[in-house]
Amino acid sequence: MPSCKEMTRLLSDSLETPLPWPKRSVMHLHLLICGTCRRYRRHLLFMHKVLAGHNHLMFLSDTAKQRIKDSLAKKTED
Amino acid sequence: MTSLTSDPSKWLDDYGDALYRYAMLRVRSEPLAEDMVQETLLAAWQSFTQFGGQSSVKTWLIGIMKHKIIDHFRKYSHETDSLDDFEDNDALLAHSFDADGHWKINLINWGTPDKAMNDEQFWQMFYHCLARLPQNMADLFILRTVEDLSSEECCKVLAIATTNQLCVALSRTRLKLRQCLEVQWFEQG
Repeated sequence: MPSCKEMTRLLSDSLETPLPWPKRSVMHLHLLICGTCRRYRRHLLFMHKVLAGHNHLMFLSDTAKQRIKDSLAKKTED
Repeated sequence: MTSLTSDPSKWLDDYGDALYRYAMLRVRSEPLAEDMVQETLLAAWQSFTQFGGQSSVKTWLIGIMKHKIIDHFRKYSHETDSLDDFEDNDALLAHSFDADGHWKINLINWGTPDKAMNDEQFWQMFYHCLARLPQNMADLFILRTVEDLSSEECCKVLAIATTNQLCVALSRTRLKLRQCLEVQWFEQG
């Protein structure tokens, strides 16, 4: 059974790539009995969710795009 | 080889928003982020002959912007010590875990993300915590979670040798960012 410290790595990795089943099963076993690691996992998901939700609020305005285009056209012309 | 064109205005249409988001999350200023997009595309146009197509155009452009951001912080900030720092982790581990690797701190219930997401003050705190990460860590977190660059592409852009090292670094980054948010935001609320 992994320690809580090792769990932080497993939980992080599980967001990157599907874990092989032995790792996945010990991870879930640990989560079953450890409330703090369950909460840590929720915090990781929280951080991803807020950032992903924020994501589509950040984009270049049409005026900014046009301004950049004009300026690039001028600078790449000569 | 198909349509590899050196047309900055096409790059702007295709990748402008991605570059802008990356810059915004790092420099927190709309006009500055816009300027950085422009500078990045111009630099890309000037060095297009060196682009061999080993990575995608998006990854290549993000790599150029990464250097623009580093230059910016070199010029305008005194924090030059954290460029490649994935090491500064032991203190946080000692603070969080006992000798057997069990948690020795309590983790606060953060509630649901929806509430925080619409709270301007929360975002200021989030930016603040991102800014306190070593630069490479902040880049890593942003490129993986926001830009959804693959592990291989992240390794290339950030000069990380193996995906294993990438996973170690990401795990540390998440631990660190979580700690900052907890202390700075959730313990206050």
